[in-house]
Amino acid sequence: MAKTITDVLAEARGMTPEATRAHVQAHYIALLKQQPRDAFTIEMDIPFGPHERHRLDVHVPKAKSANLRPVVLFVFGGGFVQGHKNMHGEWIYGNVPNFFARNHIIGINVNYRLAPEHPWPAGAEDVAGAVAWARQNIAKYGGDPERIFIMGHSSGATHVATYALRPELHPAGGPGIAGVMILSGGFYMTPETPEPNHLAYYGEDLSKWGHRNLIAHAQWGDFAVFLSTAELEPHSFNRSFTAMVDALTQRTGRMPRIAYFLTHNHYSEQMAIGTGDEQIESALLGFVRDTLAKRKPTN
Amino acid sequence: MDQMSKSTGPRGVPGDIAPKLREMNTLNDGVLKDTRALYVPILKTLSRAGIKVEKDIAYGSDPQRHLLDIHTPEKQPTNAPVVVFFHGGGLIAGNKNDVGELVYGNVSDFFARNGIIGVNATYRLAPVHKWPAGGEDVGAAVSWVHKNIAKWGGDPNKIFVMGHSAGATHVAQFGLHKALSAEARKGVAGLILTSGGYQIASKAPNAVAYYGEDASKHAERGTLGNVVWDDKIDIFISTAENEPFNFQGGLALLVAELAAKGGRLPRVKYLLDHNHFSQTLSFGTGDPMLADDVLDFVLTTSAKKKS
Repeated sequence: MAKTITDVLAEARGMTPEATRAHVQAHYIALLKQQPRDAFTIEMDIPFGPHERHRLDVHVPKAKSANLRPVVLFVFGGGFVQGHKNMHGEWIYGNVPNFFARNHIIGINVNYRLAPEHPWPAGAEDVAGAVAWARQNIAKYGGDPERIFIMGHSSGATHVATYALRPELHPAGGPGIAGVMILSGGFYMTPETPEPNHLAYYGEDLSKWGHRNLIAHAQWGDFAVFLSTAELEPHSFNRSFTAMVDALTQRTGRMPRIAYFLTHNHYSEQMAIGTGDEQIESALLGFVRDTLAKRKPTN
Repeated sequence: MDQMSKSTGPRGVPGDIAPKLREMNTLNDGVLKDTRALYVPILKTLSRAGIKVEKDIAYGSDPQRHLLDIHTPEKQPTNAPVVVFFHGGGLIAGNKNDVGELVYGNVSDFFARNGIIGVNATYRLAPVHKWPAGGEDVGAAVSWVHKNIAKWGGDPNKIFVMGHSAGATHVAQFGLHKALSAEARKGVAGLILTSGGYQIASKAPNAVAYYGEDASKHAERGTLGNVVWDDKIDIFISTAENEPFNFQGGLALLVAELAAKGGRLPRVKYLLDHNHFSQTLSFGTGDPMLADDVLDFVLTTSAKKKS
């Protein structure tokens, strides 16, 4: 029987957090290398803005399709201050758009500017830039500009959620998305004991944090929301999840689609995508499929 | 995991049931009747072979309401986990047995079929019996189980207390409200809260019937705002996609309070395609959406506990 993430985490017991992460990553990269890569093509490093980090990769299914395909734009995490869309070759975070492309959806892998050089709301502005690029250009790749989803993990989830839920960041026509997938976003801010990466992104001036707090200012418009947290991740992410679910439901009287990923930690939930992890993959594909089923067809 | 194997639809609920659930208007008065009409014929076809039921055992002084049924595997287990189930009924109605024993007995049957002791309990109702009678009755039933269940092969320290709707309201009060006795929680390993009402809609007639006419007392009587979460108790909590929003919003509020006060998160489940009633009626029908997750919660939590 194949090793489960529970087995892998048990092997890592006693390791430092960094070593644990490397161990989990080695497990998933081995699985990712077994996945077929012949069903899609990748166009790398397309600019979507003036900065050198304004680059995205488009993963396109090769099969012909009579209809334009849905699009999922993925934004990786890195604590606001680090990371790149392609690490360890393309295995991480290319695994996410690979997965969507294998499932007949166009996957876009987005790079964005980092703190402290580019503080709040640069990350969300870069999501806006990537969405604008996709709205304008994705039809050329067979993608449907009216069926774009944005998905993020960790600080990437914070950025996609901030873009989706703060109307002041939207262009005149609205956010331009069918849905947003928020996996283990960080929204829980502790000004009394500020985290160094929060100081880097939200700024040293704590008096501005109130305005920059997404929980307090989230406005849910005409798109679907998926929110998840993982069983074994730091409690601050669990609290971010509960606080956001609470804010959205109480403010709008609508329930987002929620998921609690059992047996996963903060990193494994992201690395598992595209490895055949039924729990996470079916939650993501199901959200996309069900959201589109409820919308009027556009072509 | 269950005796029936059904083809699961794309969202998890069996493919022949899900479209029928989706057709129902989830908020109109007919949904209870329609949902029962869908499930009762299925429940009637289920085999009860291998399940032994002992009915109407008294756990308190009220001859009509302090009663419970015990469903066990015919071959008596040793130190099996125990799930004590409390039905719903808006605080003012309901019984452990309806449509013969089919309804709610189906929940306890499901556990017995899976090697677990299923206890199906009823409790006193408002307006005759007001707050905190429901939570106290849960406590009395659990205390009875803790003292006696070894005779049926149950482990007195692996008790899971499960409620649906008003039953979940009472179970949450029993398990979490700071004003209710912690003594009665002895032996409790987990709470299973499916679609309970945790905030008080102060003007709703059934809320007034149970929590009293004096709305100034409601804040202290509701579970929300008054949670104390014992480290030794694990929680499973769920809400359904197609149920009235107050149950969904109630889950969000309670989960947020649990996370804030407990320093950990309960196991949260969102039941796609189900409505307020179908989730309970689906136990034993081969629908994995709620039943299999609850079973997994009971087994994994039990595995962590000492007998």
